[in-house]
Amino acid sequence: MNRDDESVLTRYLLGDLPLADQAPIDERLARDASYFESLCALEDELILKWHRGELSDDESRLFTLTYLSSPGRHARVWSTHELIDAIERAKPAQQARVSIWSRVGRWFTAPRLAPQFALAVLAPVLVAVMGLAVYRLNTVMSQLKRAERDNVELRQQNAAAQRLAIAFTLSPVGERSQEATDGTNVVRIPRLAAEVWLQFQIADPGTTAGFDAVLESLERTRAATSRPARVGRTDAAALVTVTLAAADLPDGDYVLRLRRAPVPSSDIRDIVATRAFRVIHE
Amino acid sequence: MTDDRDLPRQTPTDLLIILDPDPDRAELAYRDLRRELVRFLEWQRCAEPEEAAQEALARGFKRIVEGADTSTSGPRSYFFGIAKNLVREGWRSRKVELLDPADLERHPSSARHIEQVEARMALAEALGHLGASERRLIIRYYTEDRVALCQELGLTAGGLRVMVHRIRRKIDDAARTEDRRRLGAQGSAAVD
Repeated sequence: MNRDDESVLTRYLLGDLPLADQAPIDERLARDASYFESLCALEDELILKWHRGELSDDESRLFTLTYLSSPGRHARVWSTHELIDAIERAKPAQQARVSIWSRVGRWFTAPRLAPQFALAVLAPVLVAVMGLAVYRLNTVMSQLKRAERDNVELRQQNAAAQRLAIAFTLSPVGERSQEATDGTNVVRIPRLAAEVWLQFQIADPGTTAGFDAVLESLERTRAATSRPARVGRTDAAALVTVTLAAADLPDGDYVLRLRRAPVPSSDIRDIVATRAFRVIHE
Repeated sequence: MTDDRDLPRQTPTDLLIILDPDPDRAELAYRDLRRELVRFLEWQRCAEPEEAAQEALARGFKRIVEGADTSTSGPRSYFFGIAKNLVREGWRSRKVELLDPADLERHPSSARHIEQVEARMALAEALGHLGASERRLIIRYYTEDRVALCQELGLTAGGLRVMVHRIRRKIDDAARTEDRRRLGAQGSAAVD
């Protein structure tokens, strides 16, 4: 039943339709039970509207003329009034019966006319929230990566510290260019140092190969050991470097002798240079 | 007013079978038909719709006994046709007298007042006997915004109206039954 039908049927109920228009409605009422029921329902609502003062002036005048002049219809008006009263009395009890959870459930499950509006409002909010979430995720990820890089660097620094090499230049015996105790070189090895490079200059030996160094403890606490020596030539001299593990140099006084490889016909090795030094671990 | 009194006394039960083969459902169909005829006759501005409906039913059943065929249009249309003819015959001719709806409230006789009180009690009882969802629906329909209610329930205005009308019919039936029960109890007490 559309609004036009409702309007015509309301006029039918109010006795405002010409007989010619009334006849087809009567015929349909006779053969169509659901149409009849719809008209009954419309009449119920018409009476309710009258009680609520929702009828137009014209409708209200016709209603009074039609319904309040007929005992049968008047009884229907009165019974509707009684029903409204009964419902008003029953409403507080009904509200008390409906729990807050039922109301929340009803609110969520109720179909609404404005889902599009709700979606239109929700969509940008969701996009913004998702964007923010992605941004936060990226930030956290980059922070994690940075922290990982820092950790790697720290580990590398730690490893580097463990391989810390310290170089000392040894002066020839008798020179006093370094801090000297009894005219010797003092090698102060830091706690973290792993290697000790002992360096000194010699006159150009004419070659850089075939040299080794013998380290001898003056306290004879350790056996004399031979170490490879690197010789690098400079302008008019050569720089000798002997690398030793810091652990192989306990505190004490040492003599380092640089030897040239023996000639094939003899086992005798020529001592090219000698350096004395004292080791102190800090 | 009882439905038993409304049944035509001369009408044998087997006559109602034209409304429904099952005797119990046939009786219900008869009462529904009578109620519809009364309402239809009210819409026709019939002066005495109750009596006119009774007359239409009596005439119809009499003709069926005499061999009238209702198979073409169905019994419902047949009885409506008779009711329409009754209106044409002159049941419409009544004097228009406005009744003040407040009159019944303002100057109640003691008997009428008792009837009203009892009717209200019966109505309250009937409301209480509805199912929870039906009670909730009719309360909301009569006290809240109907358009918003339609939207909330996803129903057309007409659909919601018919749903509420059916609940209303249940209430009326229950209230009538309750009323009849009270009258019966009062009658027994008077005899005692």
